[in-house]
Amino acid sequence: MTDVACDLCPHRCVIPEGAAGDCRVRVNLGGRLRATTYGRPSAVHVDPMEKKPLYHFLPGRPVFSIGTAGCNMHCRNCQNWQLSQRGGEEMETVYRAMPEEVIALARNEGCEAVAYTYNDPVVFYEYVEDTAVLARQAGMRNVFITAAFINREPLRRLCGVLDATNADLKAFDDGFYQSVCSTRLKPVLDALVTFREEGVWVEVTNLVIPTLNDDLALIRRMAKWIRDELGADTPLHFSRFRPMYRMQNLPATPAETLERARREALDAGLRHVYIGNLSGHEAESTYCPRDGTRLIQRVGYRIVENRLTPEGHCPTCNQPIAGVWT
Amino acid sequence: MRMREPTSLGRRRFLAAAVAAACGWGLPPLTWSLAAAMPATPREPLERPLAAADLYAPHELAG
Repeated sequence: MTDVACDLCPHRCVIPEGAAGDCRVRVNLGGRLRATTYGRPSAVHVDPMEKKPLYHFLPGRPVFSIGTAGCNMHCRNCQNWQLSQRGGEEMETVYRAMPEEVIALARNEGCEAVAYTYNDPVVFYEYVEDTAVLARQAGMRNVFITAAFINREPLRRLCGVLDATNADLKAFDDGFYQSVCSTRLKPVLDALVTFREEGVWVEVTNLVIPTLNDDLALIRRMAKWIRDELGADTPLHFSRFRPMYRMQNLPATPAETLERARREALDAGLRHVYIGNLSGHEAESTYCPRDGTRLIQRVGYRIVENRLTPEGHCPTCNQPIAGVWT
Repeated sequence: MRMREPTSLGRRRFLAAAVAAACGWGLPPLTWSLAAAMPATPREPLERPLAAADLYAPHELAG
């Protein structure tokens, strides 16, 4: 009987033969580490890029999105717990789709990008990597929607084939990470910095949960950290919490809380701060940080108007707007 | 059409025990034997190929 060590994420599970790691989907079979969800997505959809959410990356483009079972976090408020908190054998739907089939279908559907999303793609790392290599060869981009609980070395390697990420920064508070997510904050911050260092376009999402992480001082510290470590042009999305999974005891986040958080982050020096999960709010749209011109008007995931120049500049003051626009 | 999940031996024994309880407690060994001999319902294939028609189904997943 040979144990195997999984070095992919900071849990660093030591897995006995026949058992799975914390994520439920990386298993020790005969003394070798196997990812049971390789080629077996449980959710496959063509979504708008805005749904990821990525607001400064190929706006309005359809993105071929795949997710599997399992996760290395266990957030009590998980929005996708049906996928993330189950092993592959517990799923109602499992498709058979090897990387080349994913790319062929994505091309047929006219997608310019593949998103690894829904559950945390960290736990289907090998499937992401192999698919992303083929996507690059086919002229497509790769986007990684993650909670960023991953060790630096495997992340650095994967960044070679990634183009953009939206990373959840769940709270700027290690206690929150421990009590709500069963993980730690520091590795997540390290991963965000690694994305930036490796040239991956980074957007950050913070789900604001009443009483747990909506303290304005906490939000200000987070915004300052993003400004200093990732850059003031990093888009930050404050997302509205809704009662979910094992956190049914808290109300949905009031709009005023999200607006105060946005004001705090703008005051801290971030140039692009959005409010999400609150369709129709004016803070879904992109504004020029210099003259306030509305550049991209959004309603939900739909783009109503895009006034950016082809070079990604403001049409009135010619201010360059950070992002990947073409 | 969806097939039923296979009935586990434990569940079959539980059902058998419930029947036995209704019929008198002298019967469990016999009914357990009968339960073990019952064929399990065939399981639906777990995996299916990905099809374009699946891609645009409405969904509530975040991300």
